[in-house]
Amino acid sequence: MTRLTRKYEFVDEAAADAAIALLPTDDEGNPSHGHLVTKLGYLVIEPAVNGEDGEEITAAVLSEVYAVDVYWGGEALASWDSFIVWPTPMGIHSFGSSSSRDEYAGTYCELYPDSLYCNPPQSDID
Amino acid sequence: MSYFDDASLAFLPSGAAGKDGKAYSIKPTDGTGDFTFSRGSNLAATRVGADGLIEKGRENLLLYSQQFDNSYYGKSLGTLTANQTTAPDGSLTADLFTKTSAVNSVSELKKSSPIYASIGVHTYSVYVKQNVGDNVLLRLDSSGNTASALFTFSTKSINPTGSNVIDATATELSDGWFRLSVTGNVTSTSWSLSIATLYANPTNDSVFVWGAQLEQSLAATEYIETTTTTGTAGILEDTPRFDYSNGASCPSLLLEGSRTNVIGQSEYFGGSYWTKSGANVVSGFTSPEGLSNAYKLVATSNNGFILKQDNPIVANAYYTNSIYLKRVQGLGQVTMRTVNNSIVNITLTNEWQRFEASGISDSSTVFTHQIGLATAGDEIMIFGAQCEQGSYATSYIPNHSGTGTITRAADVLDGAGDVNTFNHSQGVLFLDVENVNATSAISISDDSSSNFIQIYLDNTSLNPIRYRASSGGTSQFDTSFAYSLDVSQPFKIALRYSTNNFSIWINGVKANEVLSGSTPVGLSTIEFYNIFGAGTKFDGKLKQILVFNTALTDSELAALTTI
Repeated sequence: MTRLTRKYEFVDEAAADAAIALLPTDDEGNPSHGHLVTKLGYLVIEPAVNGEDGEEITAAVLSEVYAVDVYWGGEALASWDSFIVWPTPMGIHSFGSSSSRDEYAGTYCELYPDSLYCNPPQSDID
Repeated sequence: MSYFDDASLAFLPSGAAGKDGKAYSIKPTDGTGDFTFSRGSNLAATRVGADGLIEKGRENLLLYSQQFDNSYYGKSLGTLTANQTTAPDGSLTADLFTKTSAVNSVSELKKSSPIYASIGVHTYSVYVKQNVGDNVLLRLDSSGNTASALFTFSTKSINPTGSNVIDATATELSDGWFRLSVTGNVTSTSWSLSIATLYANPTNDSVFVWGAQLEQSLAATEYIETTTTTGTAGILEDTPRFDYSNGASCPSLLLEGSRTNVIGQSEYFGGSYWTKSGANVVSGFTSPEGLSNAYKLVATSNNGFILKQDNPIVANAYYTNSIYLKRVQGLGQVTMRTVNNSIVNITLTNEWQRFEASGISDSSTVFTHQIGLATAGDEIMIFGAQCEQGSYATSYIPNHSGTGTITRAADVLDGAGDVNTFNHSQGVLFLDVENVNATSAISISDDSSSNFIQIYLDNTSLNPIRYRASSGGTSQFDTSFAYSLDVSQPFKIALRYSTNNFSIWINGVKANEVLSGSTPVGLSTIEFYNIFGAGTKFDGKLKQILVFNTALTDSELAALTTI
């Protein structure tokens, strides 16, 4: 079964909730377009700085947009395309799926073939 | 009567094999009673195996793992000759890498970027056997930050070095073979892997190599051979999890909802991700997984602790922190904290136990996960930290990314049976279950909401048992009732249906009955989720499912459901 991880951003949580509420269902209320929605919220741009005792010295800087990941059971829903974003596939939320990870990375490199991620420099022993 | 002989469908995890995407019923035997199973997560799913150890989904990220002559691997100032000696698996597949560079120059068998462009904790392992020379170097290079290990055959010693290194191991095998590993925290997508480097050795030094593996793990796991694609083992994306938690001799099928572990480093406590105050950590101890990937937490002063506070979580929502712990030394109080920083006293033993603390997050989006030791000198083992949204802990979700969170998708079990499996005019649906969480629904239907019988369990309600039936699109009844039942404990439940005679039996007792109503028609499938709307999947452990095509008698149902 092909499952796709796709990442989306909304202006705020209310906008995300509105889009989620409009995900299509059948007559019995079941999703007619298989999906698992994970609300990531306002992601950390700069992590908090803590002291030696764990006290917060500098608060984290959070994104101004609200992030949502969707694990689509088939093709991603076209009506969500206007919210889609393509962060570099490293150190980001995942659905713990090898095949979906590889699909996302492959699609990312098709979309951004000149990115550093898709063209990492060779490294040799000094 | 023989319940097995009389059942039209029987599913017992102890007797039913599963494979990726299937959970086999033992009856009927023609395959029509088999369940379709899906989850879509392998690297986020774990279970407790028959040996009592945690089993994960594993992956070897390297291709051609024992074919180093393949162009996938670079050979810098060295030559590779394939299939030169007997490998650890007994096959003639071990290759010989020979140095051609000058003294004090490098010859390298390597995989340069892109290997697997991810960050976080990775372990690289390879089998080596001495030929000519005494040293071989393993190396993970991440934009110049390395995790290396130099192995010396004559002393059988391995020396980890580099700014990213976490650990290195050398395990001696038979016939002169060693399995070497180096674990590092990769911090950049631009990285390379030295399979075997001969460095500062004379020209013509050489080493036999076989079986390379790169995995997101804090320790090397059992080798997985690969060729053109990465190799997976253990829990696969749609593998049903037959779970032996709490020392069970027979497994149960673990069905859980989707959960996200927001802890970025769930096993690596040695780096900066976790704050240590009045305490330090030591790596390399045996974990509940059976690997050397647990840490020892040592209090260097009173009230020492290890702590993670981070963003973001949902404000004003239930979260549960969990972690595996056991005591090594001392008698002082051990504490953990809820997500909102409240202290919970816990009592450790000298056996691994999983502890959890639930609480409601405050108005901020910062979570806390902390383990504290009241008394200087006390020592405990720690493994598998998790923070997930929900009022109870689910199975462990490993995360080695350092920055990203990870979600295990929900287990879905459905699709067993056809029109020949079920009798729409009378029958019984029987379940032997435990640890039912949240709201869980089980239905036999015609694959629509027009015809069905359903059991609906809700541990959040004063009326935890609900059952209902529909026939021809018309609701026949929808009854919920108060009943003293702890659905987190093992219990047996049966729904009997026939015309004007519906009843629920729990643990040997008729708990409720409805003496009017027509039976559904065209029953063809059993589903472990609510056929009305999404979100009410069965969440718990299944020990047995039986379907009967006759309405059993009261005495039969009492005997069947007696626990």
